[in-house]
Amino acid sequence: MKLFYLIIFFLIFLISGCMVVQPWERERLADPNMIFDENPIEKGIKEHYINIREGSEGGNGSQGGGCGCG
Amino acid sequence: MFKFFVNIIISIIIPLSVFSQDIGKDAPDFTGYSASGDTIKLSDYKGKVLVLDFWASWCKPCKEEFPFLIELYNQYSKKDFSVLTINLDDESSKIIKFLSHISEEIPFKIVFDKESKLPALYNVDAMPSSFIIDKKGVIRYLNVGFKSDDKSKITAEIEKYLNN
Amino acid sequence: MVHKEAVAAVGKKLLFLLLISMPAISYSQEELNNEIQVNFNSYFDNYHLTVFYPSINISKTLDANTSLNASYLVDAISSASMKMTFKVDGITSATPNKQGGADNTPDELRHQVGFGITRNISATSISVNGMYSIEHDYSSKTFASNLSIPFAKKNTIVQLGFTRNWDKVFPQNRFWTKDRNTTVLNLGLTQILSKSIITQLDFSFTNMDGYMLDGYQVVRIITGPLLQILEPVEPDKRIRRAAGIRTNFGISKSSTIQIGYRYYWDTWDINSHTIEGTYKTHLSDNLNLTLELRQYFQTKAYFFKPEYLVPETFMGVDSKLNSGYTTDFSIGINLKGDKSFNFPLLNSDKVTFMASLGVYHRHTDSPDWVIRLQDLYAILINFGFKFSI
Repeated sequence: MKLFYLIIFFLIFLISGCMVVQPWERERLADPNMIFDENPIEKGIKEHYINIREGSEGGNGSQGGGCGCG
Repeated sequence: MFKFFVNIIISIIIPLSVFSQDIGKDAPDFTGYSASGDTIKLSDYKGKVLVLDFWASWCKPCKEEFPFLIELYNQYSKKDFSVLTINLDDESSKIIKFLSHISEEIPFKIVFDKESKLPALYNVDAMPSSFIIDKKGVIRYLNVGFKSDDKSKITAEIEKYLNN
Repeated sequence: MVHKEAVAAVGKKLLFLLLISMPAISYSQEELNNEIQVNFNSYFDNYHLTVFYPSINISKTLDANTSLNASYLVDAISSASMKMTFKVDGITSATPNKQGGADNTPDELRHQVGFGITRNISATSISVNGMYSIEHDYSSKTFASNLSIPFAKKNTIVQLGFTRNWDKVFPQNRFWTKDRNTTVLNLGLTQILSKSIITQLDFSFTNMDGYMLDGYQVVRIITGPLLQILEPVEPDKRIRRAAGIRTNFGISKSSTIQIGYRYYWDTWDINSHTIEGTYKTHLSDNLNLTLELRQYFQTKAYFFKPEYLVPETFMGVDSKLNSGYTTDFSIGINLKGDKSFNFPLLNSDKVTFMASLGVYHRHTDSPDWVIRLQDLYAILINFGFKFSI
């Protein structure tokens, strides 16, 4: 199991090193449509309705993405 | 095994986290061009305190910072001070569209770095990045991003090097 | 002893790492906004459930790196399914309603308040939130925290989340109060893959213990002329896991497609697959359109049966535990105000109007325990305003 976590961490840093899009190249990524859960309140409302009707929850991600702005 | 795992992480994180901002070093000279093709050289600003700002039209903090740069120029331009901005959009039409929303006249020059060659000279890591360069051409301060309390910090640094 | 020394040594190294990295990373990661969002949401289905769900959320920055947020919402629920329970359940008719409302009309009003704080420390963002929810048969206290750490010029962001719920269930038709506690751990990784592709992995682990039933549900066992009405019985522990991936593709200058998949599994033997697709496009500088389609497949809990012939150790009748599938489609718009608009409220660029219409269909492999239908159809109508302050 420790080897599994080690592999996951290595993958994170390997991916971080391989794919570096510079901050000034992120025009497309800065578009609000490219941001995950740009409106988290709307997402919470939708999950509320789904969770009262279905037997699963979780694994839906969180707000993230966007421009390389400071 | 656990210690080995943590040592590996630390040895990777340290190089990622500690990077040079070139404070105290000479500002790399460059020659750029405005959207209309005029030549702009950094060396033209020697002898003045300069705010060198990297920005793009789609960057929200950059939009908030731009009126402040105009304000700085109007306040200090009579005292050996200037502003030079480097735009990193891929099309000049985006600069025109951005500036059409600014009510004031733009008193400083804008370099249109379409191929984004200049950020690498200054190790730009985020936008906007505002470098304060003193009269001798040395980088003295870097402000990354633009938040409410940055105005006073930048103003204080400019006044410090204007009085030197 | 050896293990404690190793942990202490590691702790010292991590603290050193934090101290040396903080001065070098001088910019904040999260954008903090000053805004008020007001939403009005509604849900109607053919199982006679109607929910009106107005909410208000306020976010205010304290300084350049700190933001407070507060929220209040009201759930107004009217459920004919509960009314049917009250009529048939022999236990109920003699039970006075201590919490408000009438014995024969268990309409519910739920109030929820929340407070939170977000703080940027160097490039890291930390948020802590608390929430309290109360209605006349249920109360819930929630503590949630989230840590967001960027790497490699924000090309990679790691998120860690922790949520703890302390709930109390006290149905109107029962004499008891029971506890339900939930702990959720979340691990997320957001990774930029190219100038126009970004992906996110998410893993969540949930540990639930306590009373997990709906206190108004009953199990009916018919043996010849004899009708037995019993309370459902479910295991009082449940471990739930989910792993999801979703990716945003910038397919053109104005349009984006998001594709997502989630796999879920738990100790009640419910497994599910969720596939989602979202299309977003800028119709103009101010108007944005969103189309979403979601498909969901679920197996049933190991103890769930459509019908019980004899009392069993575990008996569940909640349709959420049944096998089946759902299809969910919605269309939404986002309209950013502008000075040129001749329309109240929208003639300011500080206002955004949001609206959506959704259609939801759930099919279960056996009929619902009270409505006796296998297909649930629901309509969701939402609209709201966001004001920058």
